[in-house]
Amino acid sequence: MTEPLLTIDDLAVSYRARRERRTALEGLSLELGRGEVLALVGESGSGKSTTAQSIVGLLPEGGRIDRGSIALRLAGGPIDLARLEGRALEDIRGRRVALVPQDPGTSLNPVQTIGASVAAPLRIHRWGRPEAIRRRVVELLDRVGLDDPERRARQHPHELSGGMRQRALIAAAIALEPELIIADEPTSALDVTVQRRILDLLDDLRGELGSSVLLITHDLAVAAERADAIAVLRGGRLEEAGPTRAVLEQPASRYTATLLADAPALADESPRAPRPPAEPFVVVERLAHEYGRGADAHRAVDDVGFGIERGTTHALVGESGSGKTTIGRAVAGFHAPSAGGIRIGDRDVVAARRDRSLRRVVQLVSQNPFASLDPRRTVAQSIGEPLQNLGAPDGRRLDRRELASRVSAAIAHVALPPDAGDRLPRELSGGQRQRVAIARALIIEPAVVVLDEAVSALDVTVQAQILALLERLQGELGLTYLFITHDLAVVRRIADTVTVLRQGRAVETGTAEQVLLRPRHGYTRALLDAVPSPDWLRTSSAAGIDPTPLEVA
Amino acid sequence: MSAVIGALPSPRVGRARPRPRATLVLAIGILAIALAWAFVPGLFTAHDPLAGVAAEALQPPSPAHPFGTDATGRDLLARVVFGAGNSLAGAALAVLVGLIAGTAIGVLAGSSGGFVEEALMRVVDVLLAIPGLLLALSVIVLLGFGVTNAAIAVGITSIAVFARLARSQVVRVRRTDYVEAAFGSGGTFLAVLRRHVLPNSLGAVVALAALQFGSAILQISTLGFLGYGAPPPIPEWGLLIAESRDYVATAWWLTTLPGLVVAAVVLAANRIAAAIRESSA
Repeated sequence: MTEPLLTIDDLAVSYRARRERRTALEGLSLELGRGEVLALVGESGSGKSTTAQSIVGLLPEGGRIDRGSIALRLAGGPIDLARLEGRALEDIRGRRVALVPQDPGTSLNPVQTIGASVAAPLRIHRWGRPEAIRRRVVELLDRVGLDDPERRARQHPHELSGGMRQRALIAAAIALEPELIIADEPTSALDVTVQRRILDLLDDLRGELGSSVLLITHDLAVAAERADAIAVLRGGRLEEAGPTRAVLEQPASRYTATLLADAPALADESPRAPRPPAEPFVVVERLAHEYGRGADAHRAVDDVGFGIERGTTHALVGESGSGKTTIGRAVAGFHAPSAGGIRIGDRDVVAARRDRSLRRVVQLVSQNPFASLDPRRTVAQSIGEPLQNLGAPDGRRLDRRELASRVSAAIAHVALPPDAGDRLPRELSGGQRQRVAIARALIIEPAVVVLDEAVSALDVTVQAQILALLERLQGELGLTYLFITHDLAVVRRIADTVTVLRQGRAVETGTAEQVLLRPRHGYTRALLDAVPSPDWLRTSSAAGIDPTPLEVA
Repeated sequence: MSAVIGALPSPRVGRARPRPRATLVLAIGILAIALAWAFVPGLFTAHDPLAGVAAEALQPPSPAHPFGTDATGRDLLARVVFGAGNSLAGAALAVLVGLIAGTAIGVLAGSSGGFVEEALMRVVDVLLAIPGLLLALSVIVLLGFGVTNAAIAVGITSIAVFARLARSQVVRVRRTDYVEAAFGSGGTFLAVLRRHVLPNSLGAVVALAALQFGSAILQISTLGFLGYGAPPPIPEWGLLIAESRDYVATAWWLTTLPGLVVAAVVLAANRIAAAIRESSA
């Protein structure tokens, strides 16, 4: 057994926060072997990114390594990255340790060509003459699978898709064949099918260069599929670490077990069983929507139709640009479609779009729990607003006392702490804010709720709690949900019926069981295949205990 | 948390920053003194700002006359102290005119959109196209001379700036998810405007008001200097400097000391404006 490439020993990092120092990492110890992939898993605030930043010496202002060591064992002997400064650190960064950043949308300089961005590490480390660098850049772009690399090198970031940009960033990271590649949520901003290809590329490159990869991810399924070893972080401490399979099959800590149970992609559950067909309550017919006019017109939604029965959940699934949000917003009455009809019960949503009483019937919960609450209004004010505007569900105007009592009932209903009412949104966590948004949507007792990626921005445990909450409320209040998501694993958890969208067209509609277990369309199958899941999980269930949709997919 | 790694290239750790609070305290102190001069000038000087003692004309600063005396033997400090009332009241009125009219135009334009917005903002463009001083002088010619009219004229020149800022803030807030959510909660246009759009967009406008207060003092002083403001012998800061310009070579204190007072008050107002902007951002 050779020595590991990277050994982190008792690392502690803290940030300056107003007066005191807040601990971000407390006594973290990790090992990463040569040529291995170590996945660093944890929820937001667990210290994953701080670990990565400490290794490359890029802690944000106010951050400080309090103690511990980060030993990188190179050919010339080990180096302690925690003590390295200035030139010595710059010499390591990019050459020995490279970073693949999280968001390909913002990590490339928009006024530089792709070629210039990829050439940057080569130039900084004086790799060769300009002519040689140019050739190397084209070679690298070709290696990461960009078509027509000569032309790509001359293009600017806005001319490339998200997946292509991430490939360019990977090309820059591997330019100097570093011993260690740190990939910080490399695919979180990408669609699942693109995510799979990017992860495949990282795997290939690792095999070719013999580099080690530190893969930072919030997605246990990605870690399970790609990593040799997993380290679970929680609140800046190491919960547990070990070989992937051991950690996932026999988690030593209860926290890991919770994470596993909450990760929808790893859960061994079947889709909801189909119900006997009934009259649909929400009907969307031949819906079409165009953005722009004339020659610039872009057809975002093209002839989509589906029905939702009362008290059930219909999922709209698709990747970015599939038109799912456009449909959801049209159903909630936020904009008029170019063509087609939407009915809820006997109401024509398109015609009654500007009618305030429509708000009693359908409510929208939007994707971003951080943006959908007014930062200056307290939780109670936000939740009570629909009642103030529209009166009680039966149309009566409410006096102050009744308003307050209904708001506190709503706060209790979504399982927020009772004193949450007086707080401002910034004092709440992401999951709590989304609970507030749900409480605000439900206080008027609508029949239909459109949930636009309502759990996508949340950590898995919080996501599981919100999904459970939505299921409970559906049972109690008989709500009908239109659930918009890119995540098929979530669909399996919550949906009765599914429509799969691709570039504005419905490629497949059916019950969750049929679409997820027996997909008819190639695109649905591709989406299902792209959901990350480790081979051994697939084979173990294929061995015949409990058939999962993943196995069929 | 994990989003910051690409955005924060600074590898430096724990950089010490200067204390910004000290300058803010100083600015508030300067403005407080100027306001005290305006309200109770008698507490700060024993001299009469209007009556001079001919024997004491053009004396340099001394313990008896800290700012010296002018050509007719009036105590300069007394004139500066008594002038604060005119200058600050004029600046306040000017800011109020600009703030109220400009914000009303901007909020109306930003919240209604369409033709109304286009029409209002083109009027604002026209206002912006005319040099401020020329516009102020034209307004004074229409309204007549005097402290109040000079202040109104200065206020009118700042309407365009307020209108543009208010409109941009309203447009920004209107596009946020929470405003959409408020409409989704059944809010009427006016209710959403009152509850969400105005509170979230007026912070920057208030900061601009503090900034404009400083520049209004300057503009009113300019008008006073040109002879369009307060008529002599009323003490007003711009007029004080204007009256003394014949003595620049022989009696430096007559222009320099009131000039320094104006500069200090304007800078203090700017510093406070910066603090308001920071805290509302």
